[in-house]
Amino acid sequence: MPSRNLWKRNSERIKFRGLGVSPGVAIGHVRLFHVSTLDVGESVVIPQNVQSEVQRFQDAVAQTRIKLMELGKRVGQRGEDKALTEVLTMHLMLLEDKMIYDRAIQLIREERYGAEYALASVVREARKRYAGLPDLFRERISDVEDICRRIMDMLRGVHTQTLEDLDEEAVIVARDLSPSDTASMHREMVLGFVTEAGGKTSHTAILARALEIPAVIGVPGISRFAQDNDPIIIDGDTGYVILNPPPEDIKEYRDRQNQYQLRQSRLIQLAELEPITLDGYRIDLAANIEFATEVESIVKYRANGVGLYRTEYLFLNTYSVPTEEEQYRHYSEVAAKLAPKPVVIRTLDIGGDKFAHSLDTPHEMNPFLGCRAIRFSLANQPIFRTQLQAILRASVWKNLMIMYPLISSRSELVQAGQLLDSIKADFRRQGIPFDENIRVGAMIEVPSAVIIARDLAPLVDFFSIGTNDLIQYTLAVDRGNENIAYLYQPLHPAVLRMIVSIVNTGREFGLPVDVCGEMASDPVCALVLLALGIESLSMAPHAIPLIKQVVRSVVMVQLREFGAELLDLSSVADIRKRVQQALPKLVHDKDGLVANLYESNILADT
Amino acid sequence: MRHQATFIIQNELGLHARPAMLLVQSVSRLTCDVYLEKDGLEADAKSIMGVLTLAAEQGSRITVRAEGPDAEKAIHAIKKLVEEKFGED
Repeated sequence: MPSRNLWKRNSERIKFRGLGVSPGVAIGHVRLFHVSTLDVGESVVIPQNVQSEVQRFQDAVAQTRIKLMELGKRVGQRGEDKALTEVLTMHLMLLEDKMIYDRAIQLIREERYGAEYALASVVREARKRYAGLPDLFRERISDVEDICRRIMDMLRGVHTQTLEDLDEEAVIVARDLSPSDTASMHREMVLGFVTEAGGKTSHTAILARALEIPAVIGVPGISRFAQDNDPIIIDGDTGYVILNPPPEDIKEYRDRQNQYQLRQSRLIQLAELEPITLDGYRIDLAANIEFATEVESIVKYRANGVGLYRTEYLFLNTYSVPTEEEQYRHYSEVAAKLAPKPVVIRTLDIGGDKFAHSLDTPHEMNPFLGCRAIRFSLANQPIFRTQLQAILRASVWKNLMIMYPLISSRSELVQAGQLLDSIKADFRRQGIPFDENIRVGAMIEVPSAVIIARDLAPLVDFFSIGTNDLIQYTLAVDRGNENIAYLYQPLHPAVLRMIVSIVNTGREFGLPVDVCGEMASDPVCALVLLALGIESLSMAPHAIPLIKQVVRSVVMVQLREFGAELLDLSSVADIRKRVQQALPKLVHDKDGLVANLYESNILADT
Repeated sequence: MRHQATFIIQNELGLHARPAMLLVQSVSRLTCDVYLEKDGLEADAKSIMGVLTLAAEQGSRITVRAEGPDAEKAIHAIKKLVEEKFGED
């Protein structure tokens, strides 16, 4: 790891990739947001000083209360919503809570702890107390940490940095943001968020989506590399973050920003329309989600259920594996809110580029070829069993399906199937209700699975093509590696032929085949997928309106003929050219959509 | 003055942040000690952290014990909140 100072001077372009959790592009300057640490070295005061140490603590609390009440007044004056006021009320209550206030004073009096150390000990005790609780309660530890940080800053005589002080527009870069950080935020000044922490407990994700501000989370190291006022671009769709972007990047992302705004305004008009082609074929457009809270966006964008529920985000950023009960609550919340619309739950896809504190994943030279996804689940049966039990219990809504990621051999499906059968047998014995007809599917994202699809078909009810990994594995291209990013080609003939091969196997065995990778959300790729015979696409919810527009502008019969032609072409360049030529004939565009398609990056020469 | 009563938490999310705040506020100014007990665990009803970390979900059985001049008032205040599902639903 290079020294911090060295990197501080570096103003080269650095590109990061995290998880885009709130769509849109933000271009601006960095405002680093630091929070002070709550870890304090042990300190003891001499007996004569105990009383003055108690006094010092009490003064700090009193000062903190005054600051909070002032903040409350300002928030009230800005007329912002009730939730913020509630957060502040909670904090004022915690400030006088016996388990914080009285306990810290007790530690100073009886153990002669220094005030800072007493406060740190209180936080440590609180963390222990919250650790084993169900999600909804455990997450509230952030309020305790938050308020204790304010007291700590007061004790140290440092100014507590707040997002309220923002005096110019900025992209906030932080390790993590707490509820009170965001509560006091000066909203008009925040262009976007980037945080190192990620996962479902990230308030940043939920808040950013609610405010419709672009956000990328789970970007380790960003707060070490970024400096105040560094130019920065964040793309909440793809999860890319570019620090010190050159003018080319800025131009490219300005264009994307404009496109995004155009897309947003189109949304409102499109929400009510059906995804039906001009010749009457209905195409299923479902949503990919990470969090139960995203159900609202499914309703907003009129998705036909969930084609991919990525459950690993339940496991990331927590210090304990979620219990069956917690998982059950998340799965059944989604199932209940969307029933009878289908919801495909993908079992844990950990490893690769996603790791959890709570799971003991091995360090590997080559994690994408390592113990990830179904391999991890089969090697950690108790975790897998817990997840399957939670899904089965939630299946009483009759709309859940189970999907296994990264299937590369028949035996993986057999083993997973045996485990599922044994759980079903247990449930029947114990009289626990579940959906006897729950459907299971294999994610097709490894070339071996494409080649043996006929052997997998009898073991499943559907196939779902994960194009991101299928492209990566088929072309042997790590798409996180910028040096070879140009080789990552969704329109590579090998990729198109793989997709057709799966579609054909699906037809032969009467299995539905859908696509749930990023290809589904690119309008040109979506068009090609339809041409290849795919009738069901799952994508980020906000992408649905544009893809719906594509669906509504094409004639399926015409598209299928075009698909057959594509398969004869032997290079990406030829395929691109053919698509470009055909677009005006294939897309019967009434609203000026084609212009948009021509600009797709997929068609750009690299 | 000693009073005791048992309630079942009925609102969907249980005693999460907002209901816990209401509960603590309803008794914090009363002249009595108030404790909540759930599954053998006890918490001071005047401590927001105590009430939250009981993790009382929907369907939990909570026993309230109050002692002091305002004990009856405390029981009554909590009963009302529980019955009104803390204004949720």
